[in-house]
Amino acid sequence: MKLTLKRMAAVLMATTMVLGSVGCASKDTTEKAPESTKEASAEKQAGALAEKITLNVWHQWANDTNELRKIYDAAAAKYMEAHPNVTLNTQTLDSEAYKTKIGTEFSGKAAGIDVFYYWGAGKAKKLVDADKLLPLDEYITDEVRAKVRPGTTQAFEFDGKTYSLPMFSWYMTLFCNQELFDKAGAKLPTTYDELLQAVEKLSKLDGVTPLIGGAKDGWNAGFIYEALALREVGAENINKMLKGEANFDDPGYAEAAKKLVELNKAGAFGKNPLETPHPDADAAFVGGTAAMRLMGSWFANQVYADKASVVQDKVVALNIPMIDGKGSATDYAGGFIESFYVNKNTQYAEEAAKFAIYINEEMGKGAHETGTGFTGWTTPVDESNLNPLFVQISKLVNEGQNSVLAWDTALEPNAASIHLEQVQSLFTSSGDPEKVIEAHKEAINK
Amino acid sequence: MDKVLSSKRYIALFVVPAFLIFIAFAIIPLIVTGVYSFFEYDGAGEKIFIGFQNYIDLFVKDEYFIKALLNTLILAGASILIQLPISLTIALILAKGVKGEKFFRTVYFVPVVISSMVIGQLWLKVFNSQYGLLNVVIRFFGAKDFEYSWLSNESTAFLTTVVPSVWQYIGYHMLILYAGIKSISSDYYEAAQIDGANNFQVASKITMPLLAPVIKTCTVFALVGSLRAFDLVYIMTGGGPNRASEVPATLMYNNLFRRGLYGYGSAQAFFIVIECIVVSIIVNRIFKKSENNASAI
Repeated sequence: MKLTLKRMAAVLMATTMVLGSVGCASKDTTEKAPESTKEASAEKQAGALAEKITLNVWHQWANDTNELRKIYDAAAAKYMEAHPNVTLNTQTLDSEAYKTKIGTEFSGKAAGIDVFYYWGAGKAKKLVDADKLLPLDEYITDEVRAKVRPGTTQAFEFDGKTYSLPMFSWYMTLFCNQELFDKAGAKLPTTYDELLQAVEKLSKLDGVTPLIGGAKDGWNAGFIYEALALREVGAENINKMLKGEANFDDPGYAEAAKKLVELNKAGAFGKNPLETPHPDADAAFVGGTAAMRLMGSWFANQVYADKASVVQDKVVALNIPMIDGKGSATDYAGGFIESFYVNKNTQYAEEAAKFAIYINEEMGKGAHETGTGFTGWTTPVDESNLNPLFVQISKLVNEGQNSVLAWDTALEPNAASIHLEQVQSLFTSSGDPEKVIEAHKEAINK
Repeated sequence: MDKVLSSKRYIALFVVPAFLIFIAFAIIPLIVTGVYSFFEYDGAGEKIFIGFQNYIDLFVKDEYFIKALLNTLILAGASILIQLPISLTIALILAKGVKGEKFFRTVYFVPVVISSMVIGQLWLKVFNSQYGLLNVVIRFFGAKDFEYSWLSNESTAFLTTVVPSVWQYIGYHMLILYAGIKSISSDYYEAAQIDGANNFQVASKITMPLLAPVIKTCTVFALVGSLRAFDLVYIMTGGGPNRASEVPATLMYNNLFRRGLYGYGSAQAFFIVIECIVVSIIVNRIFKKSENNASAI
């Protein structure tokens, strides 16, 4: 009886593990290469003769209608056509579930993952420190390196090693509804003082939120503080702080917090800023009930393509307003953070690395062509289909020099959470800048 | 059949599958969580053994955990003092045989069947400060001073999530109590009638004592459900604003999956489990006496 019990337990455990590892994943359609791939070209034949392998690729664009998903699917099919010996088994989960899945997998060996989508800087550093990521240096040829735009790889480099290459970047933009500004008799803001004046005028319009925050979602709240801090402290100092090379003690951080409270008191974010989550804030802006929205460049697409949008031709894209006598106009928030990485435990290091490099380049190109982001590669792109708002932003991008990533992606996860929670507290009536700064110091300064 | 059930071997055979599943999906994960709770572990790097430090931090260092515990106590109180009495009253009325008994039974049970996600969204719309039903009604009566941003105000956010939590499971407890009342033999009632007992006397002297085991079950469910509350709070406030509406389970989720504090999050998870077990034992003790009384009837 005892033995049978043991055996049954073993069988059950094994089944559980198998079920667990296949569970929740949705299989993608890119599994098989089209039949036509088997036709001849020298490279293909060589490929066909090579050992047949399957690469397990994971990403977070789970939705079929997602623009990036379409770009990925097309690029993956193209890759399999060119490399008949490689089968790509792509699996996806939606963002929060995806983060959990990757976190759980990499607490072990992540045996079912060869190449995967992830975030650079603080998030990737955690995996690098735990020795989970494969450095790609030996697979990055001079030819590839020449195609990568300079200054795009900081988020993927740790201790002199390159763990991935960029895909596309984003750029924090102040989207302004010109029509509402005209109605309120306000001026498009280029400085903080002008922003405050505009808020005062816009808040008098009935049913209009001057600067819709979406602060119920931490990262949206974070954006507004980070923008103010960027102008107060400057990109260089913030980057040092984010990397742990400098302490969080520049007086500009406290000034930024005070300015956020000042804006809130002036009614910039509406009556109940913490009630509105990110999608509702987006909807309010495209629906014409908010005059400003501080968002990543990807929002340009929604302003244009959203069926509910009534503001298509009324939006002006501006840089984050300057603060008199401080900061540099060429500093910007945004940059390259998303990318495909290779699991150090992969059986097929070379093939996985090659595919990771390839897919990063293709995603960069595709995202640029569809107006989702700005490519990190010099590969020629077709800009004929871009919407005018995205073109406006790309002009701003060209003036940008030093970038700061969204803090929650650059800081290690615990400090990032504390940062967002603390900033959110500034949106309440009892928001206390001093307390917020102290909590930041405790979390960041070590 | 009797022969089959009298053989211990057969009993074991039938029990083993369920037992194994229970071990694999409840006991083993629980033990693993318990083990993690003694480590400082970020989910990917090295595990550092720190003994009971995580548990000490829960009560000494974590300013939010105590607040979260108090919140669940408020919810537990509301469940016992508001939810159960309402459920019991409805059950007593329905069981007495009112017109449309089946219809009302189904109607009260509907919220239990609906997913918490939907309920959360529904009540979010009720409590929205601009277009929410509650404020619209308040505005309609001209009581502008009482218009309130219920969910984004620190002092009301948690209490606002208590309302749907209590509301959702009224039907659940009602159904259990209703079934309990229906299973009481009608002989007792006939005897009471002959002795000239009125409705209140029947309810307090016969129904309630005989219902004690069922009420105990409901109390345990209501308490344990409150202590491990997560879904409605997570959907409606996410623990905010300014972390005023956190419950231990939302803190745990945040620590485990957002902050990568696997060790500390596991300690919170393990604490919730222990807390629930202790509470069930206490409730069982309290009810033991009244159950004995019931069996004496």
